[in-house]
Amino acid sequence: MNKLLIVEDDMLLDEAYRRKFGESYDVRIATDGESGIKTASIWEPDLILLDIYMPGKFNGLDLLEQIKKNKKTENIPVLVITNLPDAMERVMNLGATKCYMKTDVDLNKIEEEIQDIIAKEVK
Amino acid sequence: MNETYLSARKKSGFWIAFLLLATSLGLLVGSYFVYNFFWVSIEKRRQEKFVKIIDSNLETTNDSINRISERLYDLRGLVISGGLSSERWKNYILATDIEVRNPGKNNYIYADRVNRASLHDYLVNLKKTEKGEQYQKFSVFPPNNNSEFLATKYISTTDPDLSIMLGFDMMDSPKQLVAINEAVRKNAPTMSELLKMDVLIPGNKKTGYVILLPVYNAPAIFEYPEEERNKYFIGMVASWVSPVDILVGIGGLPFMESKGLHLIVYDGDTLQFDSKTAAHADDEIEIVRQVKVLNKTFKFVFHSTKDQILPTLEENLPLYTLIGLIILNLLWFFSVYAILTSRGKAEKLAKEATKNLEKFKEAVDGVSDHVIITDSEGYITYANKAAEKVTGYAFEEMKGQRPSLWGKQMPAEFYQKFWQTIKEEKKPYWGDITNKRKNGVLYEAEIHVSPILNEKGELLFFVGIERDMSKIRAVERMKTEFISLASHQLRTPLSAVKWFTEMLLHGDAGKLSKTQSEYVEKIDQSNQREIQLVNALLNVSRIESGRIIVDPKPTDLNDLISTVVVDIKILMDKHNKKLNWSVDEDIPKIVLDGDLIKHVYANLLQNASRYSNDGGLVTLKVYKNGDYVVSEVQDSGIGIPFSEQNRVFEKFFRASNALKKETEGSGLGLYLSKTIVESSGGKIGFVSEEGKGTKFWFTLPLGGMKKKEGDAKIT
Repeated sequence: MNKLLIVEDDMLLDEAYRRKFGESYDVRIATDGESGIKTASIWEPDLILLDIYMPGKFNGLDLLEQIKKNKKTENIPVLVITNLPDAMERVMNLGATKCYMKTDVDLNKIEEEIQDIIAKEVK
Repeated sequence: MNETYLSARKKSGFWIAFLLLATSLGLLVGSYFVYNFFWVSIEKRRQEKFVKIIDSNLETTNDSINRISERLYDLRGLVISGGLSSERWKNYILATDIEVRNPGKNNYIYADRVNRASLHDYLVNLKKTEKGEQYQKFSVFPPNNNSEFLATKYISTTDPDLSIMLGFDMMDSPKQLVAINEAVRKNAPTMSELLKMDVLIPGNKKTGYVILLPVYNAPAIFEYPEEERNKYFIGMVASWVSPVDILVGIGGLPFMESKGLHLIVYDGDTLQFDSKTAAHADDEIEIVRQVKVLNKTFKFVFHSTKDQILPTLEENLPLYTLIGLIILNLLWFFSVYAILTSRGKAEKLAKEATKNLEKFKEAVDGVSDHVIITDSEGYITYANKAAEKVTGYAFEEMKGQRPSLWGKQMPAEFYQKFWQTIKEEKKPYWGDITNKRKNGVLYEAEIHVSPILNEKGELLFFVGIERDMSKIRAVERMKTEFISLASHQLRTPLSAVKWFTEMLLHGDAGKLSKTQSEYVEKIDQSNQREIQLVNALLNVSRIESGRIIVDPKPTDLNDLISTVVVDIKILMDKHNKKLNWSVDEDIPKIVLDGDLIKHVYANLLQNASRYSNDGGLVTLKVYKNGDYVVSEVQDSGIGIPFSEQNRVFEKFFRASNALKKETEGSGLGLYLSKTIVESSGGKIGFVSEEGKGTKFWFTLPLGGMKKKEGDAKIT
């Protein structure tokens, strides 16, 4: 079962993710950047779903930066699901695999993307 | 422009004006002296001329006397040589040039000294030797009791009045006797007192002097003492002269008169002669000369009226000089005036220019932007007040320093590029910079540094303008942050609704009944509208904040429209609406921000579709027109009511018929489209008829859009 790390501070969305992906993926959820970084480094997920705007010391951008710096985590694909349109370009520059606006996608679409990315990784 | 320089200018202006006035005054005074000099010189020359006349007059007098004396000596010699007769006397007078020299003025006589005792013999003898008629009647007169006589024996005269003197006893006149005695004693020509002819001829007004020279019968009479000379005195030669002839010089009285001269001659205190023939009112010049004439000393008193006329040019010299000086003065004054006024004008202009400069300096001093001027090496020569305020350094501290005093916060490449631009390329540099205030606080600034070049393109100095952007940046950050946050916070719950409704519809929570499904779909639709509205609102506020990123790239319009059409088509197909679109082949790639322009196409196509009737046709044409690309979206929909057409691009405006037809629509789409098109350098417009349809068009410059930095993007 592929390991999916979801970094998202909104509990409602976390629940939506869990309900959608909980059965087909090994899902772990981090609700702030710092724990996200830790989990990524220790648990080494196959894919990270990342929100940008989050409370605490590290936001999504910082997390992305840290992950890409760390040799252990640098190759983990990161799918950014956010509501900050202005961050999209920066996110791509920092090495995110793809970036979606939350309001523009639904969970089915996200699932398709996850499957696509993982399929590529496997190859 | 500094104040010392200005005050120096003022000072020098004052001194120049002072000097000009002083020289003018000097010229005036000089003119007065020159005029006076000429005038005095004229006076002097007149006097000199007068004196000359007098001198020549006196000389003539002396000459006359000398000549007469010479004649008398000659005649005495003739008498002494013996054998003299009246005939020979007359001949001698005629033979000499006496008559030639002084025509009509020669009166010479010879008188014999005769004792009373020998008078008879003398007369008898005379009648024997002299045959002339007058000698036959010769008698000594007037009869008197004198012991001796001095009887006039010969007379040659041009004056008929005098001819009667033949036989006259010269000793009979007391005045003459005095002169005779003196002459005998001195053995020299001697002049008598002024005699009057009326002694001889009663009523005759003639006057005259007799000049006498005694004749002695001793050969060397000068060896005898004076008192003994009378013993040898045997006769006398004499000349009668009129006062005018000897006292008035060449030209006589008429000449004197013509020169305005008045001559009075005194012998001692006795008036001898007065030439006053005409009245001269202002006898202002008086010259007195004592002149020794033989035994007498005459006092000549010359009077002259002022107007001793010199030759015209000389006489008018002061006047000419005066006129010349007046002209010179006027010229000088005019030139001084002209210079002063032109100088005044120039100064006025200079003052205004200076005023402008001062204004300019004040303006630069006072502007809120930090302004510094450095020399070509970057050393500060000027800093305005804002510069002091922004950096925290006083101008005195900055002067002679380089702006790195508050800089050095940027990477080395930045400064390298900066100096490269302004010093090597000599081009202005724009950019953002972080600097450090004196108190150590960093601040963000926009800098604009311009190299100032001379005509040859050589670097003179730099002008640097720094705008402290700290506050503006902070506000901007807050604005953007607010929008970002609003965007995030508003969307997050909408996302949750969206995701959960979709899971419901997808059957993730079990299969829904038909009615349930319908309801959830309604929720989803409404939520979708909410999402679109929020997006539109946020886009508007982003655009209005001015922080929108414009990132133009060469774009193929055909490709761009294709992506837009894909989404639109899905909607249109639902309602059986058709879309025809074409992009002309000759349209090149245009440098534009596709994300922005996409919004315009999407919005126009969406509107066209939304307000068309089912089965309607929407046409999109893109073609080139001059320097622009024109995009036209034509529909056959409800159209826009004429009365509302002018409000179409207003924020939140929706046409009345549109509201009825379609509940969806924020009223922000066209506003946003207009803003995007216009900020891209294009224009947007439409033609519409209610009930028939609408054609919207917009243009984009082929030249493309300009890049703009920012921190917000449209979604």
